[in-house]
Amino acid sequence: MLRALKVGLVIERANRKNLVALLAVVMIVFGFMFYIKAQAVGNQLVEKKGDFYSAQAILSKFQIKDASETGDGSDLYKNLVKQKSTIALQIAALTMDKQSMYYETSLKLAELRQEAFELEGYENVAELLPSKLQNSMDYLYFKRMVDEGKDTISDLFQYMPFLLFFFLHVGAGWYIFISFHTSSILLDDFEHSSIIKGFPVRFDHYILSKCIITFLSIVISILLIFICAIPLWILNGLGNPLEPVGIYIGNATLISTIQYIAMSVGYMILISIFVTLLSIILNVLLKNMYLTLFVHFILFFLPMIFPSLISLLPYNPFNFMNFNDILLGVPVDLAKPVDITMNLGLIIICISIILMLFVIKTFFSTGKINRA
Amino acid sequence: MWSYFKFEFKQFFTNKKNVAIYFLLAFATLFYVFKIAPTYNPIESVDYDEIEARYLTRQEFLDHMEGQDLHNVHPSVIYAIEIFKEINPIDKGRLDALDEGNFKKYADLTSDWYFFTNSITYRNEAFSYNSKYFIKNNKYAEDDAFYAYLEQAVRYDSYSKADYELSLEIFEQRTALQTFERLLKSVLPIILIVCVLLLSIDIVKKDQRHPSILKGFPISDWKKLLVKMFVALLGSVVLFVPLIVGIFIIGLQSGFGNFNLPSPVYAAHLDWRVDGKFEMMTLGTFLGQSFILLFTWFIVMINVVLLCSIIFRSEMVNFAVGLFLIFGENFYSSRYVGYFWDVQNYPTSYIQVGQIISKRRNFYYMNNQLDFTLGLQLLLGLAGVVIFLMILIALNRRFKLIK
Amino acid sequence: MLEVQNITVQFGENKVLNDISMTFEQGEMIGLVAPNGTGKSTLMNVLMNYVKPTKGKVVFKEGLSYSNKSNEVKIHQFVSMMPDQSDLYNHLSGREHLKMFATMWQSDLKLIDETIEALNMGHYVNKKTGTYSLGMRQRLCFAMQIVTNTEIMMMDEVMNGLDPNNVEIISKILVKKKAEGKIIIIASHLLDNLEKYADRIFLFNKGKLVNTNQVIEGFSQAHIKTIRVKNMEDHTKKQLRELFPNLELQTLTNGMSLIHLPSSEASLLSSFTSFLVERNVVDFAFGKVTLNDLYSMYYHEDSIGDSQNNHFNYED
Repeated sequence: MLRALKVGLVIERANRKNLVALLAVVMIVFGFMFYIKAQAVGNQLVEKKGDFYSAQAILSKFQIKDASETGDGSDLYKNLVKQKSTIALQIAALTMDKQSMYYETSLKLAELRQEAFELEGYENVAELLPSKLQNSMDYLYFKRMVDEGKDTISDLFQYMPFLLFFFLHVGAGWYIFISFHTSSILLDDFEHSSIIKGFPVRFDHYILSKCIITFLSIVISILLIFICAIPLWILNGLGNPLEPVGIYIGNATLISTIQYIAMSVGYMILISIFVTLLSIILNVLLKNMYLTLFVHFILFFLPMIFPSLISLLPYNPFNFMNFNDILLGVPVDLAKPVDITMNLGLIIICISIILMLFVIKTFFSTGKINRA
Repeated sequence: MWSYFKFEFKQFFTNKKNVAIYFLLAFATLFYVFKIAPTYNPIESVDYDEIEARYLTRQEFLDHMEGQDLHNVHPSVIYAIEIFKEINPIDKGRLDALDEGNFKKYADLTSDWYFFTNSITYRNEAFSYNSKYFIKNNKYAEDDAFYAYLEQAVRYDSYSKADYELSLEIFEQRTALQTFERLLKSVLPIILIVCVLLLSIDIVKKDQRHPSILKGFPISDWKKLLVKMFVALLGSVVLFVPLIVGIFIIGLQSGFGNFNLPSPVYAAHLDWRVDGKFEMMTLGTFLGQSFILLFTWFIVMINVVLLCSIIFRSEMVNFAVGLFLIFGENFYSSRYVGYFWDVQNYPTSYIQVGQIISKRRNFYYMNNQLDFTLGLQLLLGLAGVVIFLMILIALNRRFKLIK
Repeated sequence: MLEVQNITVQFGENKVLNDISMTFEQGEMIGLVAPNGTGKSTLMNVLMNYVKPTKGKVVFKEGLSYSNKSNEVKIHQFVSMMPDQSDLYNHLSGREHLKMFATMWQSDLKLIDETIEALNMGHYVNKKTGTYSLGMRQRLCFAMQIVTNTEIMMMDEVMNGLDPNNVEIISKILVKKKAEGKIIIIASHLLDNLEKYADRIFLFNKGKLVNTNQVIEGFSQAHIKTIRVKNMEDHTKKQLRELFPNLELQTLTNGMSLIHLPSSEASLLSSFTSFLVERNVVDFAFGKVTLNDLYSMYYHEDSIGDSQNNHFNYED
């Protein structure tokens, strides 16, 4: 087994594809930095102004757009009017750079919204307001901010906040990235089948050694992410590793930034293993790199394009591949809500991995290595 | 050269990957036609109930205020009365027209309605645009609505003067050609260009596996590259086959539309308070220009892939460069940024083909110079440079297409 | 028709081809014989312009040479090299490969069926090449080249993996092509076969082409000049030297003893034959030095690292 590893390492070390993958990681990290700059993400002021217009729009749905406030509007109406003025206050706080006031008003807004869920007629405006889950997470976040007497807003260009932002968004892309990386696994070997077939190594050991080598390059990629962001640390500082983030694991809770990052890395590694094994199986069956890629894409995007599939097949491992969305609780807010969490996802992915290993061990003998 | 063309042609259309791409596109088209198109719910729709609800509430207010003493009343009430007195007759007229089935009259009045409503709503806190624009925290909802309302104004104006038969499908842009127009303004160009990238990505690399068979072919390298380019272009045109089938099916469901339908073009130079903000272009012209621009993109993409293939010899690099060309705009695009930067000079700004032709992109960027002609020049120029480089390299004595 | 002018190919310190000049005429079959790695394939690659020579050039008819890319294309119209069987398209059939080559060189499509018949490929030529055995693939590659019908054909190890019957079939076709006026250059290790059909045979030595006739005079002519005795015993050899002092005796490393005759006089032959039969030597043959013998003589000496001039291991 070790010999297979050594041989594999020798072959892969010089493989340009791995270098290209690492280069791609570097470019994506820097691309994110540009993206933040260009799209003014995290610029609270712009976002709040949008909120204000939303609030106005909601009110317009109510009745006459410009009736005078006579005091016999519904409770919901009053609540929404209060929301609108709270948002205005938020904007004022941001403009004057008083973060503590911003947190307080945000907390108030979250409380108002919480009340609104129970009020009559909420369904009409539901789609214009954040969902129950989102609001709970907002509420928890701002409560923590107020309790701790926070006075600053995290700057996305500091090390920790940037990494958090990166890992908050990388979920969807990670599966795709790894599919590309592993889509040609074993295919090179098929080209040199007369060399490989005769190896005095068990085939499943051989495959395992390939997986380990791929896994190594993936781990290096992840490390690269942390390394590439270091210039931000040098220029703008570390940022707060304990900054809370809202996630959904059955109920809305807060965890610290560093916990979230650690969790993300864990999921990314697990998903990588899943994708690698799946690529191996697909390549043995289809013998074509592009077809393997297409199958990956279809399986991955299917639950996203048809959210109703999630309720149909809640245990489909592909529901959990976009771990960011699951952590945000997106499936809970779907038209047909499904209560799935990443804990469940973890178990299902692990089971899938074990199943695939079993399949590889049992069904794939050396005879399968043939040229396309 | 003809025999080499036959050879490449056969290889291209029997390549498993390419067959899979055509198949997936066909599947996506059928899926769209049967599942997504029917659920199309435009924000600006012909909604009798909505007009009626608004009309009745306002009319009730007006009737209530009739004959009352307006001296000590809040100025916003007076304002409301004035506005409603203007709008309500228009709304009533629209309702009547719908009752009569007189689409021309409806179109005429609706055009006025949009124009007027927009002028009182834009940047005016008292009124708000249709709330559907504000979903998902759209920060730019106001601008989007402004654009939409004025566009609809011009559309309906054109409908009212039309000499073809009007229908609800035409108003709501559900007909086959109008659906195609909508798709060209959103995601279709990108899908097609990505398909072209995927189709041509290995057109050079596939020969690496059979060197001793192909090296000796008595045909020059640059001719081989040209044949490959031509075959890839043919393959790109074939991408339209499933699309046309899809359009045909939509046509059977909701009518085909015709080429004289209006396709408004944003005109930044007009004063919106006086002339609105749009000029007219027929759908035929829109489609024609879109195809030309799209086809030019195909040429650019294929040649860039060919050039990268002979320089870098790696499919991944081809893919990365292709993606960069397609999505590169996202790195610098954000609203209004075109006011400060010369985005019109980057070829990547022209990727949203439909939006370029309809000049929605100009609105997005706040830039007046993004233009079909300029885009065409830039892209053709880029293609020319790439082809030139490619042939230059291929003519070099030491260059070998198949190593 | 095909002229090699002062071709030198040098990789680093190693001169693989050293100032080779040669002319090949129409209707000639040339054999290239050499141990592995001495430059056979390199020479062919230079003739196809797959490798650029460090010095010198190759000149074809009408003064055409590989001076620019369009000339290269023109030359490839009438010069072809046999493809390698590992490069075949496994999902295409043999016939499709033949059609591909025939169309590319614009040859007569009837040639395809003729070649299939001549090579007895009819029963499998319509199947996918992925299902072929090595011999079938090799024959297909040969057929592909035949179908191009180029004036100059180069084949590197064409007989690889073929059974004796197939070797004969291919040889017959090559002879036919030779009669049609084509130049055929074969690199091979099947020395007996090459000997039978080739007009000129060259050995490689230190980057130079050496005609077999230069190694042994009159090699390519069919004279009875040599008697070949297998595993002659030492005391027999001694007696031979005593009784026939004017005959040269040469022992090769493969156990073969060569007795070179000054002439093919009948009396000499008969007395020598009786000499051998009396001593119970039954395994002997009349003829000339075979290519096999020549090969052992020529190359075994070099590998030992003996003096460069003396190629022969005389026993005296």
